[in-house]
Amino acid sequence: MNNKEAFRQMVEEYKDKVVNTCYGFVHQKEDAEDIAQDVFLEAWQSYAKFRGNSSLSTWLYRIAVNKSLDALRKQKTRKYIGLFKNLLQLTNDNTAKIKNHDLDPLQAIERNEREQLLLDALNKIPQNQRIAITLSKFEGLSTREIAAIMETTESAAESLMSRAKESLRKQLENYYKKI
Amino acid sequence: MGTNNYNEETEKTMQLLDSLEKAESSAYFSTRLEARIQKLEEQKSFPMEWKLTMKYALFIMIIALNVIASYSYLKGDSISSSSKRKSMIEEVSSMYFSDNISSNTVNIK
Repeated sequence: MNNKEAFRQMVEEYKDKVVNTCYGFVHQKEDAEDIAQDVFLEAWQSYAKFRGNSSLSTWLYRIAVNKSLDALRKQKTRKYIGLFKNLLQLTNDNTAKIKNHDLDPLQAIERNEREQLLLDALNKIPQNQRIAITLSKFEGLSTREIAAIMETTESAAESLMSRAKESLRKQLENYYKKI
Repeated sequence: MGTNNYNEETEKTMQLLDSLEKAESSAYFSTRLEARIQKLEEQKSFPMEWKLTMKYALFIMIIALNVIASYSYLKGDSISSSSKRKSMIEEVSSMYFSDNISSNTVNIK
């Protein structure tokens, strides 16, 4: 099998996982897909150099996390334009979610609000905690996989996840205390 | 909001962590990626720097051609006009001299 064919197979196998991982960071499907495209482009450019020191999935997830964080940094610099765009896209996403849930409209709206609160809280926690919890909750990766992607030990990854939950809880409590 | 209430709300929201919506790639993801890879490969085989050099070379060639064309046009025009003048002088002078010769002949007669 040549490189091109092997790469094509890899894309087919991992595209949903990569898109979902990016979505865990940027929370917008179109942006997540764009970043995932960049992830595979970078993977294509360095595919020949990939020596298999880590597993293929770990390598791809690592690129996905880095690209997503880069995208978030760029988003911050284009804050005002982004804010407007987000508002428009959030409206679209919410409508899509309401349609997708098998809930009555009121329950669906409540769920959307809670989800949005949770995603906002995720954006506010420290970066390492955020990476760990996103990989765990969006992609359902094991502590071992997360540790490999983050190039840390399993216990450190475990600790990051529990601290992430604590930080999230604090963020939410602060919000609910205020209202 | 009371302590129990905000704890309850926080827990309810936290529970959503385990059922967050997932995203999937769109149907045209692979096609789009293949097109981008192809473009990337084309750029690699014919890099941008080379393209720029080619553009400059072409620009300089066009200017040089223009200069050469306008120079040769002007030179050609001046040559043709001077040769015309020359031929006209020759024609007029030959006419004049031939008239003189014939008149002289008549006079002699």
